[in-house]
Amino acid sequence: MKGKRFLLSNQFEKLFKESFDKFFDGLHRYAFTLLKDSDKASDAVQSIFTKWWEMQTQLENQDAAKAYLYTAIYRHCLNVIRHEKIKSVHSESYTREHSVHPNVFINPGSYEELDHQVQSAIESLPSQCQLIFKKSRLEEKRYVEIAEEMNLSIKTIESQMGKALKILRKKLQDYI
Amino acid sequence: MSKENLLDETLISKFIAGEATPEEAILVNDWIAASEENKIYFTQLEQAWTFDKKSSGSSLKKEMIWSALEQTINKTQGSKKELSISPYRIAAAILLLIGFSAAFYFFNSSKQSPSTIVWETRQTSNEVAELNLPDGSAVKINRKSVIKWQRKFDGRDREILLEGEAYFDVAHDPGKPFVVSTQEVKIKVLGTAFNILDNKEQKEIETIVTRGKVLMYTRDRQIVIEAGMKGTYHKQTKELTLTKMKNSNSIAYATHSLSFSESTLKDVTDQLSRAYGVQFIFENKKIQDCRLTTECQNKSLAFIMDVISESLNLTYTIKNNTVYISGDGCI
Repeated sequence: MKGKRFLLSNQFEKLFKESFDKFFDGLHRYAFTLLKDSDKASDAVQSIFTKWWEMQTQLENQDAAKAYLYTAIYRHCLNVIRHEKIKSVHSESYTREHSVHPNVFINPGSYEELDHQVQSAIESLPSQCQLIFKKSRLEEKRYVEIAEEMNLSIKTIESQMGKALKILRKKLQDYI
Repeated sequence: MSKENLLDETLISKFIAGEATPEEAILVNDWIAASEENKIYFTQLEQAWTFDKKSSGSSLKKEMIWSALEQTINKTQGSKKELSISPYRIAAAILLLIGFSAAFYFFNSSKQSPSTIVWETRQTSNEVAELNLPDGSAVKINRKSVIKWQRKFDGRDREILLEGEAYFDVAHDPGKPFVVSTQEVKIKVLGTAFNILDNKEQKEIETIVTRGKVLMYTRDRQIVIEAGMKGTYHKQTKELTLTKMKNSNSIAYATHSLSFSESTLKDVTDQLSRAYGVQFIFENKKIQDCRLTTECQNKSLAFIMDVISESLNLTYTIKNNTVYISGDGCI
């Protein structure tokens, strides 16, 4: 039914362009949180829009496009992460050279290398809160894993992480 | 963070930590976009996570990615043009007079695309559908077709996009031209009825007029087609030509009006097949050459088959959209 599409491509194209304009920042931001890398986040956004264009998936309006794009970027990023994991299993050296978080983050593995200010800010967190934050931020563990390890509910992890960032924001505000 | 806002650090932190579901990510991003204050607060929380001034935002990247996407878009649009050799056949049935001067206004007006316009869609699979447009115009949509129209017709034109075939009975409104767009040719009328048909087997676009007049035009060419005439747009040469029509059987799906004069049974069943959405199976293929002269207005398929069977001495059965014809007929 290729023919069916191109006649109606005016609106498709319009929605496509408008959605890119409107949702790029949010999608990039979301992809960044999942992939922890700005370039990879860009690649992810480009690739879901390319796919949308190629599939010519017809969506009613911007709300539908938004839901479609956010789900697409989520799935895409999870796939990227899965591939990274497979790669790292197959090649340790590859992982070292192309770490999952190569440039944007201060290398999470080396707490000792963190700036003194950052270290003391983290140390100032309440003990459980601190432990959870370190596991998430430095050991890169998922909320589920942390909850399991510590025998806590995911809700607790969520709220402790919220607390941690709230405190750190205040402590590091002038410094960062 | 503004007080009236329901988002708290828990959800934002969850997002920053890469734990948000798509729905949660939408909530957070909508909240960020809601005010500059929110954005600053988010950036600070994000920095408390990255221990760094670097932020996830990047307007430069947006431009880069858009230009990369534009290449994809242009590439596929290029190939679409190749594909569009698939033909359109546009038939206009009943039309009122259109002034020549109007033609120059058409192209400009059809360019508008106000962002506020809401488009409605109707698509058919194996049925002929009828619907009323917001201006009181009526449409019959043939099988495997799709039309889109503005919900309230609040643009400068009453603009319709069509892929497939549809019969329009257009309400008179000289102030708001009625435009049906196909890929390369447009049909514009000021209150009339006409039929547009997309015939995939043909490499041209045809407009058949049975009453009144219609203007068929491209960017730099135009023809006025009068009743009983057919206008043809040739995709390869991009020329428009006029020929005389023998009958309007090809739009019988909408009119159920058919006329045959010494036509072969094969021709007759081909037209019936198109008009009624059925297929024919002949027990004896030789009878397809039998000739027939008849006329029917708004009759059921069973009625027409009765007439044919009677005149050619055949028997038929209809089962699941298939008509089985047996007998030796004229042979």
